[in-house]
Amino acid sequence: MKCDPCRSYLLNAEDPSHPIEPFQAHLEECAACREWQVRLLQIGVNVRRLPVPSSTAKPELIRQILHPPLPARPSPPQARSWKWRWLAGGAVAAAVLISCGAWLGNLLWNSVLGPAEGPQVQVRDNQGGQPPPQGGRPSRKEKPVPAIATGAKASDLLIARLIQCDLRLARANSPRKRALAVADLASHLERELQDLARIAGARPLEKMARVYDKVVREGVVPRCRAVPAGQRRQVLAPIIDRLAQAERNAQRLARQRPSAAPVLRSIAAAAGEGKKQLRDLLQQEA
Amino acid sequence: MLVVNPEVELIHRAQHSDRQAFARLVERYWQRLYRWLYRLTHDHHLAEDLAQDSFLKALAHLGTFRTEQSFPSWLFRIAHNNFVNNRRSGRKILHGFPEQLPAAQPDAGEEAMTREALVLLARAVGRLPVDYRAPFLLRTEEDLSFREIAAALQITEETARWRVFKARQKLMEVLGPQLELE
Repeated sequence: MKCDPCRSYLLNAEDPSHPIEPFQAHLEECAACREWQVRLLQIGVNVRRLPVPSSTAKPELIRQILHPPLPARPSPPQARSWKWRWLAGGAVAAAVLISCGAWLGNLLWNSVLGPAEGPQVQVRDNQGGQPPPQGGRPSRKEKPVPAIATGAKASDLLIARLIQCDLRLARANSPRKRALAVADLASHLERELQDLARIAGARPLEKMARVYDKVVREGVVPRCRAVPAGQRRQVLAPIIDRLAQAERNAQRLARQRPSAAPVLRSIAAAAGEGKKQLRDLLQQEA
Repeated sequence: MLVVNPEVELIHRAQHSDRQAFARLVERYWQRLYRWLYRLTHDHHLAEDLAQDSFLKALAHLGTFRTEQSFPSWLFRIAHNNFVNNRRSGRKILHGFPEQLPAAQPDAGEEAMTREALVLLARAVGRLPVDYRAPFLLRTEEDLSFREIAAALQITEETARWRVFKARQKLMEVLGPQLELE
């Protein structure tokens, strides 16, 4: 037998380490083919040694499999729908204002901005068409936690507050801190959205979803771009992870809550787009 | 005495809504699926996304799985469909190769390559066309038979064999001369 058929056989074999008889006989006679076979096997062995980055997603997946979100609540009777809507809107706004407002207010007014003079704040896109509170410039005595309001005005106030916060976060004293702060804001908002999606209908979520999109698109991405090249990988990698997780969570929840699916998918899309842009940024740098 | 394959038992339990059993299947297959998807995408975030989604789809469609099928083959088929759909959707797939290589393993033995050769191997595998890379890795790294590879990739067994042949051939052309023998 010549060498070529033997080598072709080895390339074609399910297990090239155990050739069938005529080829085995050739290998015993031919040192060059034996050596060639060893090289082929070396490739197989060493492919298994190639590195794979560690993954952190498995525990989260298992957690979600073992503890799926609560099933959707039945819709209230039609006759009471206006009241439910009003209550849901109020509850959503209240929950978010308390949780986001306290956190953001504390962060912004006490830690980042302080009581000193702030910039002229302009709301760039007031979704509800309402003016920002107090014409944009908050007084020094303004409370970080706004009064609990209900209905559409509360949502508008929430939007205005969040966008104000987004702008004010830019006053953190380094690009890295600004990126991290605004990423925290996005994560916090996304978590609130996920929780609220489990108990509220789509309508109260829509405006908040737009805010989330805005925070990611106009907050997280530009601030991450501003991080110096040497720090980017370290700063951006965990933010990308969080956005990826947010995307997955929203997609999963959308499958489980068809009534809120369009809003949840828009949240997933916002997180996914942010993640993609940050990845591209890292990729360009590489 | 009837001996039940523990994996079949797990699948059977998972098919009867035992989430704990499915979680154990995830434990068992996560690394393999994630690793394969990472080698196809070279993007660990994307590989994680695809792996997670594949497991969730598997959970959703577990009722359609028949125990006479190969479970890894079925799971890799779902993952491959996800990967293909992702490519079609136009999301960017990176084509780099790993920047960092693991430290030399003490038990690597005589067949271990030098670090430089591993870099070359990573690069060469990364440059294989994905149609060759996917079956080659399923055969070499995941130890699937040609029949299982064919089922996973929805191709014929002969095509699976041919693609593995071509992948090995290309790697031998690139790497063969550089491999040092004891």
